[in-house]
Amino acid sequence: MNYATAKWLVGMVFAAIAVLIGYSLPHGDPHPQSVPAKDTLAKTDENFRPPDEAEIPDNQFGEMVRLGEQIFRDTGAHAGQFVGNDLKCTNCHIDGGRLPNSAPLWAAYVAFPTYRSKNKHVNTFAERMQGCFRFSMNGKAPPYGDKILVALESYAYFLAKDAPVGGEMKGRGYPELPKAAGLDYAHGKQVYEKNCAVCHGQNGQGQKDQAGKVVFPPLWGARSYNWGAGMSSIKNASAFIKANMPFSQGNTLSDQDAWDVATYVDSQERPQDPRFEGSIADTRKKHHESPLDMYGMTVDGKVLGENSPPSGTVK
Amino acid sequence: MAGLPADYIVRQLANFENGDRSNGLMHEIAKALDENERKAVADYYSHMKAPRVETYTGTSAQQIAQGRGLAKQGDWNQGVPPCSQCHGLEGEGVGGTFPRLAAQSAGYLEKQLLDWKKGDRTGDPLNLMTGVASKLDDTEIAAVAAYYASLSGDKPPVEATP
Repeated sequence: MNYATAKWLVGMVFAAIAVLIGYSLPHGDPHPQSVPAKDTLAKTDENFRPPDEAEIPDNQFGEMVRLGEQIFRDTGAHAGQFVGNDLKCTNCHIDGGRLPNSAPLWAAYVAFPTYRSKNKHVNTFAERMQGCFRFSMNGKAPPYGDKILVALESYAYFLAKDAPVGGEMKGRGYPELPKAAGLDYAHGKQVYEKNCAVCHGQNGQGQKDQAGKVVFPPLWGARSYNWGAGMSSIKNASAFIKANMPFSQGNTLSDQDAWDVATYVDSQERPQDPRFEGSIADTRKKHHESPLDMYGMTVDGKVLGENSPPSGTVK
Repeated sequence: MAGLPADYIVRQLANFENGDRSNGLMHEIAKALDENERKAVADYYSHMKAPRVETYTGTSAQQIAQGRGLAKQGDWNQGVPPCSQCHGLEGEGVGGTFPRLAAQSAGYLEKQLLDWKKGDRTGDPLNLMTGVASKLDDTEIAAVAAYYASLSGDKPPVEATP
């Protein structure tokens, strides 16, 4: 018997003892009917429903949850020292991270720690959020233990109340689209002008109010997500767009329209990949080698990545 | 109309003429105006200051709170986005497409939402408002109209940045 097997056996014995002790304790729930079975969620087609805001407790933990929600909904205003563009968490995680199929926080929270091929090691939830700041927010990663990360993690934990840790969550991430027969940039431009430009602007610049507050997020250019962000992959962008865009009209574009408009958006210049390896070619080879990633490809006679604004432009 | 974007007013006149907005009186008036006259009248109104509503007493605090919830958070369980997402945080309006809601009369806002719901008003970009209004019940429509009517309209309209 090797060491691993021994450890496993010891674990099993302890688990068995725990179960026996559990059964020998009195089961005093006076309202057993009102408690749904633990596996109800897995057996139904219902989406997980995170708790209402009113359930945030009035104590120090609740304060941290509220701060997390504020950061999530207005990231530049509450975590500006780590944000280098005009985006907010809730732009890509709609309804403050509550909406299914819009990468909801409650599903993400219970999916960590996990191995990620992006950085080839096991990531905690905190490290995953650092990635959001570094790439999607074109900013800087808050250090471990920073209040910003603590608040966001508290908010995610609150939303995930009663979600199964490590379990399958319906509505997690963005639903992946069936593979496209091809990607059509010119058609994507038409789809963009017809469906997206009214809010995001003809040149993807978004719209701001007079106080400089962003109303519609920029989709490319210096103030959008950088080349290291998940959304710069056509695979992710098409899935997000299909399920969630135009805003309030998710699932109205055809799959092909979603693929093509994602191709158009992700064929525009945006801030440099912060993992830049010294050359566009090497950076593509190491981080972007996919037909669904336009970094380093030539579009309209220009190599994407060559004219990128700088990454990590925190004020 | 005071303070609404000129582009928006010009587009509404076109919608009255082509029937996207159903109103017999405005249909005749719009038809009688040529392009230059439409631009001139739109320009005139767009430069007026939005009225300031000192008090709005048409409704209960509870109704306003319900309206505020819809305006700021929406009701995503029904697929309803928050109004503020497109019309500005305080309903100031954004660019030439998303008009000011703050300090509009509750009766006007309520009628517009009901018209969209019934199909009596169309011509909105991407049918965005038709989609939203169709997901609201009459109580919610009244509440959100009351909420915006309760806001003061003295915030300047929001210009789109180039």
